[in-house]
Amino acid sequence: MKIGQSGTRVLVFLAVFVASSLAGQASAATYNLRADTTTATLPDGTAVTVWGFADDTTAGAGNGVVSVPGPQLTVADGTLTINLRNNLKVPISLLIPGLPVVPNANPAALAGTRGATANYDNIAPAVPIPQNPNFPPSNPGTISSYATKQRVRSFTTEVQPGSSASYSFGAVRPGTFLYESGTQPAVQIPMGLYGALVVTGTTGQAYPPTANNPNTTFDRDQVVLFSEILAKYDYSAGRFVTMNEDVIKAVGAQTWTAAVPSFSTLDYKPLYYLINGKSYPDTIAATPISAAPNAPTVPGIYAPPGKKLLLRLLNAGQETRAPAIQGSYLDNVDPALAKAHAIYPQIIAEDARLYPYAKQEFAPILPAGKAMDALVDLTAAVSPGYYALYDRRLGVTNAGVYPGGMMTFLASWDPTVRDCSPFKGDLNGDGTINVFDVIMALKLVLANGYDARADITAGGSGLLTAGLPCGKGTVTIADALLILQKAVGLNPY
Amino acid sequence: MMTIRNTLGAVMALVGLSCFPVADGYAMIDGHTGAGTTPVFNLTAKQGRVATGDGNSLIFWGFADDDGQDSSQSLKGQVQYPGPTLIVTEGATVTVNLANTLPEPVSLVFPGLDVLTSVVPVFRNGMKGRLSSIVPEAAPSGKQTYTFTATRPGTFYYQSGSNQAVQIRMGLFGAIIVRPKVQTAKTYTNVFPNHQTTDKTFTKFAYNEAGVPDQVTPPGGTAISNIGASTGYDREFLYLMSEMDPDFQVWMELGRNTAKSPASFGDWIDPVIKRDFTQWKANYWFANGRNAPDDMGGAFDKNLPNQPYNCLPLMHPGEMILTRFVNMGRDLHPLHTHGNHQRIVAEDGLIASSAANPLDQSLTTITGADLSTEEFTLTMAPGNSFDSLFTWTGKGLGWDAYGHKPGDPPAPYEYLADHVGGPASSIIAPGPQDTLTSKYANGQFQPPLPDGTPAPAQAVPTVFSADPLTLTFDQWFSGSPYLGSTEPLPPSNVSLNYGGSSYYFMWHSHAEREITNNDVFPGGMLTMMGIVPASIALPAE
Repeated sequence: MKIGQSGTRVLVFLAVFVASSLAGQASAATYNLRADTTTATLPDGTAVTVWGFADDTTAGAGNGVVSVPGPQLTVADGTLTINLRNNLKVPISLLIPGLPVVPNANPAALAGTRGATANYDNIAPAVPIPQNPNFPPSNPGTISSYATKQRVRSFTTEVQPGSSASYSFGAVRPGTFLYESGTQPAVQIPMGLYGALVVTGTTGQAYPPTANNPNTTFDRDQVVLFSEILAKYDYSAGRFVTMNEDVIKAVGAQTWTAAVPSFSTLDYKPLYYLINGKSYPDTIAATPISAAPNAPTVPGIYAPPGKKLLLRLLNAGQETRAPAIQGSYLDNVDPALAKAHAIYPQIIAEDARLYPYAKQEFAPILPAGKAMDALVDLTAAVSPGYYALYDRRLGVTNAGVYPGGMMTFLASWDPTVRDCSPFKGDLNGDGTINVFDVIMALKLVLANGYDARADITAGGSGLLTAGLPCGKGTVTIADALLILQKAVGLNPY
Repeated sequence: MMTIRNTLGAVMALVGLSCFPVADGYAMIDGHTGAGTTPVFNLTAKQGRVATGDGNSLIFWGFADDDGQDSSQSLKGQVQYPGPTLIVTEGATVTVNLANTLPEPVSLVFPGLDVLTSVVPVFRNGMKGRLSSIVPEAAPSGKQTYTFTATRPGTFYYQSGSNQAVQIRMGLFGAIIVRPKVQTAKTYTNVFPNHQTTDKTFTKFAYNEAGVPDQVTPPGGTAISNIGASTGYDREFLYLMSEMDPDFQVWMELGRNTAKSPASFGDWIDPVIKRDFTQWKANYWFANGRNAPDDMGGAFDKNLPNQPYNCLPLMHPGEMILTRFVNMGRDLHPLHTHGNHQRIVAEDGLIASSAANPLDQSLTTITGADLSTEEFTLTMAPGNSFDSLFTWTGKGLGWDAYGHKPGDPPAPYEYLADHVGGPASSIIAPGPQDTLTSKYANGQFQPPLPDGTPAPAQAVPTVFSADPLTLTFDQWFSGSPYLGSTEPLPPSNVSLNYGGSSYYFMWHSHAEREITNNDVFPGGMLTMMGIVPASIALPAE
């Protein structure tokens, strides 16, 4: 907090001289994160123990919900302080690639004396290994061995189990970032110690625009964070064993400080593919992956026609992803005049830096650790749509079963005006569309009643609206007929 | 070696009073050209077999062209890997009728193309989340129709939007090429400074550039060629990349429960060979559906009935060749062009320019700076397409690649500074010969005469007389280090050299494991790009 205040003072000082040029008010944001264990339940029912972060109201309050990815941090530009409480049994740390740490703000610098800080493992081989004579021992006359050597295990200062520490980041600029553990990252990041940081600048603007990359404004933004749960097949047991299970076993009940158990991540491959910690179909569930407040309930990511959606793509996984966003919209309500337009996501920035020129790609490369801002411009769209967003590297399964994994949909309609969800027709809310729903729809027609879930056809010329059951404000026999078709598997919508 | 076909009618009259061809073109890219403004393609999804470069045979799922292709060697109704290359003209409204003979639903996604038919996903039986396809599908034994507008020229593709974890690995994809409707001949001056021929005239273009000037003047400078903003080309080739894990393909054929539909990728757990779906790892790599060396065989080879396309670019020095790359696999394939850098002029069907609206590809005026990049290893992501231009003149070798004698005229497009005795050459006569190395001062090599005396300088081009007992000769070597020269090879040597006097550069995946067939080098994504001397005719485009 001390650093944040001095940062503010500097800006106040600057403001005296260049007040008119300051676009926004710098601030000092503080988050109280707690690393802890929780259980992630995947769509096929598999429960996996993960390490995640929780957002506590005050440091050590312990009242936040542990999640993977960790809570989305949203701050204005300025200074960010994260008070980190470690409830895990191993040392952890926190870093944000792309953001500078405030010098001397952290409890102990990495450059401390070897062995004196906990950033190094004191673990040594059981048998001393003679030192390479070309690299003389630091203490001439004695035979050195690995017993006096240590292996670095952390990129930054650690927080010991049961302890707390504070991390401060200065010069926070607008952009999309990952935060993640900097300790034993090969183990701790796949275990779930990662999350998204969004630094907001001017409202509705991802970055200050430039002459050659001017389109940085958006109506809505959405973090889309890709990650994986790793596993290997145990042929003797006849089942997949997640890396999480083996890591938890290796850590055991002991609390590790000076050394952490070594663990080979070599043979583990992605078994579950996650977007914002969820696999399809959980990515289109009633409370979908949207973190935006006041977002209407849609099955997927809310992307209304006529608006611009900024997708903040992040990859906290181990493999390269190719997020494909595919579909076309119509630009005129009159079918005779309407032209179709393919959705070309416009990549405006990478690693929180604006490109000199934006580029449009339908399946950009998103390597591990990458942040990428993609603008989906639907300002010319008048038709509703339900557009697939999925990993073109085929991480679209749950334990191998398609559909699943890194797949969701951009729900492009305004449900407060008219709901176009393709799951309409389930009038009794039992999760299926069957003859009971048809009977309920027929009853509605006979009674001149109304239920938005039975309002399917567009009326007038077309049966559906761009293939979607948006309805028209009344329930007619045509709606009941389409629900019947759906119930018998003809899939009219 | 490539099959050449007429694409009459691909270029349409602008005024539209009647559809008559205004230009006569030839394609080096085999495929089905959809004529007119409303072409219709009829594809059927089927199962077939691919033959790999090492003689293996694997099942695949692909598309058949029910109308046959515009080729003398029609493949009517024959399933092929990859699917038929669909070639249309900008502005066309294209209909694709899909029929499905596979035991599970199949659908078609057209990324980057303006699809007029609805693109809503299919959920089975109203069950929430039970997604069947991300776009409308053709059920088993069913049909589905898709319509898109080819609004912009470019290189695109189609792929299945159903059970993608299995179906894309199985081969349900193909390329789509949209040619610009206006192709007005343009001449660019001084494209090859200090070459025997300096200007280039193009009649074929990958993208629209009617309004792009052939010269630009930088601030305070003099006018220079605007070739950097051009997508003009002389010859074009397709590189559609894909890959297979043979263990998975075998399991799909023999191991899985075929009654289960759709095929579940997650069922692939083989305790005998200890492979499972999380370990899927390609071991065959394909360019246009063939492994090396088959990709260098003729197109429509009857021995490869399901793999009609080959991949063997041939060019004359100074020609501009357009390569349309499409990566339909799930791995990155870094395609490396030996011989020169390639210039990436477009990605995902959009020309690399800083146009304010990149989707406005009409480019009838200068809309932005040229953002093309020169690379020799292309970062080719899955599900992406790239267009690249490549040319070669031998410039800067420092010696006369043609082996000219003093007084010989330079070859077309020869770099004059490297020409022996040329008017602008810094290299004049070969100079004195080193008796130990038999090299002349200019680097040319000439063995001494039998009596040990230096051979007279005018004897170049040389005789290549390396010891055939201690050296091996690859099948692409002409026997001579000089372009356009043929020299004797050992009697047993089989030459695949075009005209016997061409240069070859290997174009291949730079992930070197990908130039094997089932772990054995050579194979995979490897082909030879031939520089054919101008004196030897190539099939006209």
